[in-house]
Amino acid sequence: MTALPVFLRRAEHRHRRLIGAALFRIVLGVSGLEFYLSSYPDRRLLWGPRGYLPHEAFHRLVEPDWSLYGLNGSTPYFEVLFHLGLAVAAAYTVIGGRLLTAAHFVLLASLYMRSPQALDHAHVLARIMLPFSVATVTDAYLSPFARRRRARLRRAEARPPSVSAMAHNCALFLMVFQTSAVYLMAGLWKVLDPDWRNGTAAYYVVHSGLSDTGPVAALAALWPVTTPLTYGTVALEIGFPFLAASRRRRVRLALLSAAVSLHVAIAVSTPLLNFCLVMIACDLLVPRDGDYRSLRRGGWRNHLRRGPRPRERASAEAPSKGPSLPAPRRASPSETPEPHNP
Amino acid sequence: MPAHAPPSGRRSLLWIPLLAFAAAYCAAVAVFNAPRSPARAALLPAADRAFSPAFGQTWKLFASPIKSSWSGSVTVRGPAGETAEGDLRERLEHPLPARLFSHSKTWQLGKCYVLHALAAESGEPPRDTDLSRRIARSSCRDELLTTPGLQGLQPFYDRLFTALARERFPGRSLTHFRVRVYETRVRPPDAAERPRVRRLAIDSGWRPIVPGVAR
Repeated sequence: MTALPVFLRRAEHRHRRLIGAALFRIVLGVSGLEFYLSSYPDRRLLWGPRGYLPHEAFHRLVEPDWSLYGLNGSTPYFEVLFHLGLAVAAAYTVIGGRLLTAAHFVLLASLYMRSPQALDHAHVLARIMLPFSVATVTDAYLSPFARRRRARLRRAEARPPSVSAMAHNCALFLMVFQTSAVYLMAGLWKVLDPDWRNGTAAYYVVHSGLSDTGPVAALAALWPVTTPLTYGTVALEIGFPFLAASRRRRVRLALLSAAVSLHVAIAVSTPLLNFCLVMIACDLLVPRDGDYRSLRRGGWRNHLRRGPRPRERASAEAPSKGPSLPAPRRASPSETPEPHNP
Repeated sequence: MPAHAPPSGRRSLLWIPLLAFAAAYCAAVAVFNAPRSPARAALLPAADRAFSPAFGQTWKLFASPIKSSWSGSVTVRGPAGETAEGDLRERLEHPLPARLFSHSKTWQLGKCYVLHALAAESGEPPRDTDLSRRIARSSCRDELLTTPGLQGLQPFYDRLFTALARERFPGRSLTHFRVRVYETRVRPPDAAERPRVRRLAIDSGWRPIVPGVAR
């Protein structure tokens, strides 16, 4: 019964997954910039007051219609707001921080709302994740003010309970939970489809997105490629929540590399770049700070050179029946566990 | 204070709202994503009241692989009856090198047009034309099973294709446009040697150019 109090106590002492939150900010920011810039020449047609969905029709058809783009029906107002959104997206990507995250969320959600039919699932996921992200610390790494931010965090953490740490950790937990829900549901829906069950779905995804010619399409027509790819995708998606909760660093890092590889492959084979960027941003929340540090120190190379950790080796060599004592662990800074991450 | 000391006093007061919100959100996500059942039907109104439309969601990502690729053309007619035809494919869908750097939003709109027009042709009665639901549940792709007809949305597609026709034929005086969408079925993997069949799937007929659409 002491697990929850201990969990909460630790969650109010330290901000967790700061590196993942910073990477999330950068990749999600790039996806926001891509959203603004890829349709820059079409902006008036897609979102303008005299575009595809005119100003008065927007108010008549879309509910809720609190979009900032709906406040005024003039083209100069639209242009100012659009370019403000673009500038804030760039600032959010580079600098981060709660104020810029909130501003980016309001401006981007306003743009999403203004033309709902131009959206896909990624935009929905981004719109769900951004409000949670307002409560997180996204500028403690990979930001021009990261050093100063970390010093402030240390001061706050020295006087627990830190409200900032509590909000950050709680929001991060919900973001990882939401990402896991996306993967799990996507996998379960696939299981219901006959093409995913008979191992040919990857063939159809590639061939409808590309053409019947070219090396990628030719590769996708080979069953030794298509079948493992199809089943592997389903297994990855259904297993994502369980693997993300793993206490083993290798599992979390392997999950990250598999999920990122899947979305890079989707970006190449279908016209869904923004979707892939948002999914990769969410994937980057899974590893803990220690995981990223171990990568920087060559954790993978060390692991391959040294083989399994002593505890894993001991459990592998232990008799199959009866309880066994855990073998003593070799202390290594790159393998410091963080079992209490939310 | 030891690290395993239970939270008390002020700390409990801070944690209670956070944990209550987290628990409610996780429950709502589970309800939104649960399969249809009496339990879901009973819980959905409460989840909707608390978290929709901002957090409403379904995640049928590639759940049914699309087995066709689509291409389109626009034909325009001038005041004297002269016509000209242009390809829309590159306008709606970026070719491979470009798609690695940008994601076409007009492609997304074109995809919605295809779904709605096909549903209209099939004689399905128009149901869900509420754009707000699309905000909550993502693109029109989610409404594939409850597809709306074209009624109500046709004026907006007219505005879209007017803009694309004007862009394709700049400087010309246009009175009407006509959009044709072709479907090319992906051959099954065990029939890869068969020729691909391209068929006319949607023909909008002649529609008047809408004045005053921004580019």
